Amino acid sequence: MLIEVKDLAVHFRTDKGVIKAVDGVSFQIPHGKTLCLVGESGCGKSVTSMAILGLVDHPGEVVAGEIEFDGRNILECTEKEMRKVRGADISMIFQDAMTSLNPCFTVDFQIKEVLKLHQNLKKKALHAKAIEALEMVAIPSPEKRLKEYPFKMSGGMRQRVMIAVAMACQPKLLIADEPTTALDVTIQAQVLELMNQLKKDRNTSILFITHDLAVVSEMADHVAVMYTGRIVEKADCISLFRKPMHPYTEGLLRSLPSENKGRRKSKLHSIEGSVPSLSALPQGCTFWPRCPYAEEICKKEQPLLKECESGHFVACFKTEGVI
Amino acid sequence: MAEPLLTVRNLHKHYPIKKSLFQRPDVLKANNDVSFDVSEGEILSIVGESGCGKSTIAKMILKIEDQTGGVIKYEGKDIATLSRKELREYRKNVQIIFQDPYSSLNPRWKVGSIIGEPLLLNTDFSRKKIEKKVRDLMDKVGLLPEFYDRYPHQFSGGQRQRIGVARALALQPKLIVCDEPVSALDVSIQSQVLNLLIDLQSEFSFTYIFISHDIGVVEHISDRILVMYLGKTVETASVEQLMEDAYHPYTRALLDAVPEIDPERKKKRILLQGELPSAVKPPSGCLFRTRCLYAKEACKGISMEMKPVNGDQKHLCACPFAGEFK
Repeated sequence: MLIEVKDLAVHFRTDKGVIKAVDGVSFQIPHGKTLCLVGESGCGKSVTSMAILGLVDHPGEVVAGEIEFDGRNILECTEKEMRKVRGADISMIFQDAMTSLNPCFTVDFQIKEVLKLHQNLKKKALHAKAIEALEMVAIPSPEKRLKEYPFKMSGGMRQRVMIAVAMACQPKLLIADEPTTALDVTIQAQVLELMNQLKKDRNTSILFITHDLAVVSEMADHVAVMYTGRIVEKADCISLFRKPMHPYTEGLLRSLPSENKGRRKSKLHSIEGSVPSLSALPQGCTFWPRCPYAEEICKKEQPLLKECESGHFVACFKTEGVI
Repeated sequence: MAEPLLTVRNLHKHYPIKKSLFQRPDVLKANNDVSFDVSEGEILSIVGESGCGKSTIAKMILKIEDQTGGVIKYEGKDIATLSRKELREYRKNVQIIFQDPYSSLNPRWKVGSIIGEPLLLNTDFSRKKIEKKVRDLMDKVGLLPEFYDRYPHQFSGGQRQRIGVARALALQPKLIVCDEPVSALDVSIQSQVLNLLIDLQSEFSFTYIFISHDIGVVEHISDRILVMYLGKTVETASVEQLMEDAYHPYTRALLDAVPEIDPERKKKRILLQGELPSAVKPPSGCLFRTRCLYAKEACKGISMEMKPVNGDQKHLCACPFAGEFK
């Protein structure tokens, strides 16, 4: 295993009380595999990734759990040690490339910055590495592009530059937070293929965060579905799509228009209500107010994540057979 | 055949881009010779990548912007020549639902006033009657009565979009333009709003112009699809026809790029190379030829005229060679 997250909990202290943004999340990612974290806005996907990078800011705090990366618990690392990890061993790409790249500096500066920080290279070698990084993400005429500023590029191109910056030091883990949400489908297809190619060539592990189930099915080896700060279902990609077991996952999949092929304009399946606010979570299973199968026990007790079939974990009383 | 509700012919919208005082400005052709019809009760979807001119069409239909050339006719009348009074009437009949439910609602107004504003401005209803109407509308779109006195920030994205829908319905329009109405919403909420739109349509038989980049949504909701590329239409057909028998290479690449939900059936796809060329300096001839797999010398000289495919007047395609490599 490259990374093992155990019972991670991140809480935010606010005026409204303690908000449990991430509440006991565990997962693992082997070398060269992709784990997709899926869920709706506010379910704690991004906070989880920030915790891995040690970037949770005040008023947030990692209150429990372990993150074992390459044999050591990085939650115990000092800030100085973490700086060596970020960008070199773990790096991240964000949703909006325009706001994550610095508009005041050229691409050249931004790629070399990360290389200078982590690798001791001579000027020529540095330049060669920067060019190589751009070539790797299939940017045409890299020499010319190096001297340009991010605003001169299109959205897809910027996203490639960001991937190039992230991959420059050949990290073991790449965290991608909604990397294609802002892109057109045609460009999205290009970027997804690029990431899959890099994964294959470099044996990089990817933690892919998205809300788009179709993208998940293209990218994932394993999938974890999150709801209100918890993982409700975890399985390998094929069994999750073939046989979703948690009512939330099932509802999400059935509500997609593409699942209703051949029945145009028919009523789409939808999950009633909306995601509860993290400051006012319902008692028991947090999904029960929206769940079609909810029973008395769901309103009182919280189901735990249990292995229902080999490798397929679900947190639901119904699949457990209690109701 | 009955007269279409809305007819668009040879629509052009050009934006001048100033370089300096003494130079002739460059021209960005946001829409370049776009023609289509919308019949009553029909759902027409306009799809394409960002920057292809989808939203510009919506703006011109609503007369937020005036076209540079071409005609938009509503019930047979050119909307550019409407008198003030007629224009008022027109605006009652044509409404829009915006993409972003956060920026399209006034944060300082209560829900009741937001939905009631069109009624206040366009009818001479008494305050009481307006309130009753608003409450009816809220019930229609699935908002609880106690929401009447709340502010937009107290709602989630899906509920805000319902407020936007209620506002658009207030004057009982005939044509509703939906500019990416669900793309800012979460998956589980998306289907709720889509269901609402479909329900309302079957109840009031609205005509929708549905602008979206999400092919899955478009396929589900529309009767007919219009595909655009760099300000030009490249193909139009009924949904069934387009999904099964897309003709233009761009349409096929676009459909191919949509990720498949089934992980066991990884599809072999034709990936589009490169990106959208600049609309200020578009390629000569066929606009798509710089990214087209089948591009050849002759493509530089064609005019992208929409011609019937196999003699079918309802299936038009802008590629004269599409039949050859199909």
